[in-house]
Amino acid sequence: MPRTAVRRLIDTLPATLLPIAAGAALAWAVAWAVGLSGLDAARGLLAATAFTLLLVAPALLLGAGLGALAGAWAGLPPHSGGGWTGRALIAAGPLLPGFLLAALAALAVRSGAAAAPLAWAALALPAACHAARLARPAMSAALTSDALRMAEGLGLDDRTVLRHLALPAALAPVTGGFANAALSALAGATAVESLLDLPGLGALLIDAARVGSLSGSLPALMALCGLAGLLRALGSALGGWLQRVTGAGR
Amino acid sequence: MSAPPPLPTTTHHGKGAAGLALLVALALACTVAPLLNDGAGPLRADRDPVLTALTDGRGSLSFALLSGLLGAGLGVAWSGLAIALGDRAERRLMGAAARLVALPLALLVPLGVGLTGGGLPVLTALVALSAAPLVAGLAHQDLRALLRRDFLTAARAAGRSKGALLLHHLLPNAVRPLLAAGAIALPRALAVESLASLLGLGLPSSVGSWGGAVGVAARLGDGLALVPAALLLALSLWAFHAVADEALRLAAEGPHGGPSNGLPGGSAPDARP
Repeated sequence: MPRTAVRRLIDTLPATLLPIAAGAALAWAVAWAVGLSGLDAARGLLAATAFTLLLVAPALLLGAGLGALAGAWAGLPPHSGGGWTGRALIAAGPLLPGFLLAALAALAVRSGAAAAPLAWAALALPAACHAARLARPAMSAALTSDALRMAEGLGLDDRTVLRHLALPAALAPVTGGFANAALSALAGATAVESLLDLPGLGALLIDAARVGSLSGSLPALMALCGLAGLLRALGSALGGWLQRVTGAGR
Repeated sequence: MSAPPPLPTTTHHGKGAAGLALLVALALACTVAPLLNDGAGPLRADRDPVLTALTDGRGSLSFALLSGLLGAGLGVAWSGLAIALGDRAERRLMGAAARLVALPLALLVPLGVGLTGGGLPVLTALVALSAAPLVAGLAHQDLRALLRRDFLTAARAAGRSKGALLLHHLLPNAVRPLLAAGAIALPRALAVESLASLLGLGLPSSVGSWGGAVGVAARLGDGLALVPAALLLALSLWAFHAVADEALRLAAEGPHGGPSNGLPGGSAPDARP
């Protein structure tokens, strides 16, 4: 990742890490107030945050990346295998919310399947559908744009036109919509963690809510909000990096 | 001022019509399902999983309709209030909506139900509130685009009163985009309620919900009970999304088939939680 993208990510870190730190501090204070180890409570919240991040971020990045490529491919004539995959993802998008896939994953795990790949798949698939849904119309619009026709008129070959003009235009809305995909993934992760009894922030939040504990759920909610901001910043940094890699605007 | 000449409409509305037909079919099936089960009243039928899922659908669909309409109303009122209160209040209100949309609002619903002890009114209010900022953002965008249009400027220049402007120009043209913005709340409401019920913090089991049935079946490892409820929920979400997409597309086309607000239309923002 180039320096500018990393710098962009670092710039947003204080604002995104602040809610997580505040959540940890609150967990520490609440535990200390009831005579428990505050350090253990804060450490538990940070461990749950790291777990949820490890569950959501790879699934989100992989799903969004593959979905964006499939969606962009679906916008390209003639129709190919990748294009049909993109079309299938776009059509299936509203049918496959993360929490429903989480339930199917839980069912498979109860039947003896491994939890980790299914949990990642349950979160990656909706992200892929979301990305494909955004990339396809953007690619179709890019293919009929004046800039592309001018580039072709200037004698640039198809591959260069596709890489430097059409693909960045198709990927731009995906990175723009990364925040929405991240929020959906966090909701899906909550369902995954709760149904599979995984030690993440979502499970912590729901367990505390079930017993009606505000002091238990508030730190988890604050950390989840921080995590949403962190993922949004990651998407923004990734968008900047992709623009540089594809040479958009050059 | 004369109306612009009608332009030929070239868009096909197959997906939206299919979504609407599917919703009607599901609503009918869910309504008659209890009658097929010994003709008794509301049943917790443990016999046929499909009939049980259809019976649960009454709770999910009617709740989605109720809370979705409430969320749509709140969102439209939010955007209308923002515009009516002037620039400063508009910036603040819409800034608040944008900040709320960036938060995991869907998780506030199970949290709120857990902390308050639940109840249908609380759940309805929470689900509506989780959908309202998204609707407010869309409705505000549409209203602002409408206020910039030439026919309003011309009507103002012609010396029409504010009341006449509102009654004869603004409201008739705002109905379509506002309905489209409000339609987004329906899939959102169904998805958020289903998530909350799946986590055990949504609709009470006496009402019945697809999300609740899916959650219980997933915990028990009962695939036979999970599949019909999950399938019906997925189909309903698809249908609601198709209708909302179509509404946005129609709103973007305008009453005569041409672009109404200069904005690209056709795809609803993601209404999943």
